[in-house]
Amino acid sequence: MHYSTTDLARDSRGWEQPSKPVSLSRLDTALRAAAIVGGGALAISALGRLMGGGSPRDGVWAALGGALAVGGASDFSLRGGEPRTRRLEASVTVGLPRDEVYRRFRGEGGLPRFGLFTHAQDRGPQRVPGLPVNVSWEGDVVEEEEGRRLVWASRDEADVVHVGAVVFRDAPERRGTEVHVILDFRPPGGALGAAASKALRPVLDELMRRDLRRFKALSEAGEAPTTEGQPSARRAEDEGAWRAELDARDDDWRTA
Amino acid sequence: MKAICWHGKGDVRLDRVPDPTILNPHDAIVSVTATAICGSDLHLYDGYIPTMKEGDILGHEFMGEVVEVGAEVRNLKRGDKVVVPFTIACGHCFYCKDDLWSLCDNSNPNAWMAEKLWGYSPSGLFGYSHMLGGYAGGQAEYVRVPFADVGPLKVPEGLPDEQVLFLSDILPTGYQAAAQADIRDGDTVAVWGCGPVGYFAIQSALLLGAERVIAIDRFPERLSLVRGMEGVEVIDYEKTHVLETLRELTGGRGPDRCIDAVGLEAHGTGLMEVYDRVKQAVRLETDRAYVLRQALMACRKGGTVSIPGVYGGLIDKVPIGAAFGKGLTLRMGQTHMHRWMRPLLERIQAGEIDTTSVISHRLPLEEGPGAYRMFRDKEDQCTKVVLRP
Repeated sequence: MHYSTTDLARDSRGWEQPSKPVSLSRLDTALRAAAIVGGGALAISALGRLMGGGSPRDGVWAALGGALAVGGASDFSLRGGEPRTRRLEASVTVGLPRDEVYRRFRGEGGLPRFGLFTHAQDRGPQRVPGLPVNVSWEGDVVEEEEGRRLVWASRDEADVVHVGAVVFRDAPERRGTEVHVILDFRPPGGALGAAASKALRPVLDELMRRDLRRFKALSEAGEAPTTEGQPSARRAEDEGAWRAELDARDDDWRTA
Repeated sequence: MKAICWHGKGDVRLDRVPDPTILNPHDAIVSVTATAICGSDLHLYDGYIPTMKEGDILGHEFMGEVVEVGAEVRNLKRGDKVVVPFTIACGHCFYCKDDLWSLCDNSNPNAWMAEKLWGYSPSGLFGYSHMLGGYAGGQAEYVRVPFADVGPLKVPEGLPDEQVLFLSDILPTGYQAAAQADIRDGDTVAVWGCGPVGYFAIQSALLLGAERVIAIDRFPERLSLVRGMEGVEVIDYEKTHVLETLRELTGGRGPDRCIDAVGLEAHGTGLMEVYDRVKQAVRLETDRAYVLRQALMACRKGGTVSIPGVYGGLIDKVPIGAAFGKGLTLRMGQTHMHRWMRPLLERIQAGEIDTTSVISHRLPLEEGPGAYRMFRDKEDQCTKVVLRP
């Protein structure tokens, strides 16, 4: 891959100087948000009618809504060229000493087990739970500073080429350890993939945060909170297959 | 098992649902012996709390007998009688260690929802919307209790259910309201709302050294609950101008401490009532802040406004200038249950707190749906309903 891991390693050390924010005017942001929300709602409602046997006009509305949403979501990289690398960031504070947090994160097998972007040679290709499409890769730890920093990179044949870094820092007085994750990835599928990844951004952010929250809960409390399987006066909800995968990983974290 | 379930605004039913099972190592299953309908359950009933799903089991005030424990629960065993706090806390995070249990970091599986609305998520609650955990509640024959090694309080033998049931919410909630008001000798405390939380806030204020309590409500059955208590005067807000009366009753100073035991469904009089009703109906405001505004205006300079009443979203026309100009202290939040349960159990055992007079109705669980309606409509002099599965 072309993205240098040392770039990211340097970035991950430079937390005191956050990366330059993307400059967007407020109007621009508002317009984009309106396009995404409005276009998306339009597309979804039209698709719903289509599936219920609607008219051809619904198809046009769906396409129009979809285009609006994608247009709003894209950063005009539709003009072509290399899609730019996207960055996700998330952090959590775990109320345990840094060495212990590092050990739990790293896991017994000596491999990082950060849910969304876990990779492990001994487990074969990893799938991202919770995403509508199957994304898999294999990767390697490319840099490690025990108790402080971990950098990994996907192998070249990965669906999503990415570099991830986790930085562990002491939090102030009694607060434990800050875990900062940055993940740079190159969206697959050219310009369309780039647009899709932009639209998926909130989902990806939330997946990262969810994983970090679960890691925190398992580390601090010995279990991640759940209501899966509790009674209600509803029929069994569709919980999604990724729940089972999360549970399998939780066992690892619990015993780490 | 049988359970009281939410099916929409004004639609609560008795349903047959599967029994709960142990899902996590720190869980316990409790066979419910007594449960109550809380005033805050009425906010759900009236559809003011978002992220409820049809079919959710209601109820966050309950107690019962332990029938099963998870692998990591070592302090409880089958047969133990426990009263369960309505806030769920892990016992290990920064907030739990800091005695701020209702702010637990690790008990809300849907923390992301609360983060969207409030920035950061408080603890999970039983039967109180998916945003606050989506946990099945205790108005049922059985209930699953997460972090059972941390929350449930063992009830000493010989204490009847009714004496300790309210340790699950309203007694600690009323007590915390008074404790956070920072009452000092000679203080006059005004309490808006003489429902069960207000009732316990009044008792607690007197226990904590208030010289005098002024209770504000409009329902005769509620006012008569507190009218006879030594040191308590009552104001019927439909018959009196509250602000003027409070000023007169305090020699022109204003009450030292004000407690809003009403929250987001406040009723008022006059234009402001209409204003809130309209804005809430069209969703420009989610909560009716009538009482809060009045408390901020009524409070003496340098006083404290303590808010045990529940707020969930947005309010407006809040006289922040009054709060600033008078240098008020505002205290609020869900109750840090685990902090208060044991000391309050001791006060109950010592006979310092009357926990049973507030109960107006004792009914079987099956009559829950009708009881919700009765409690909401304040029919039959209903002040508090206890249900027995």
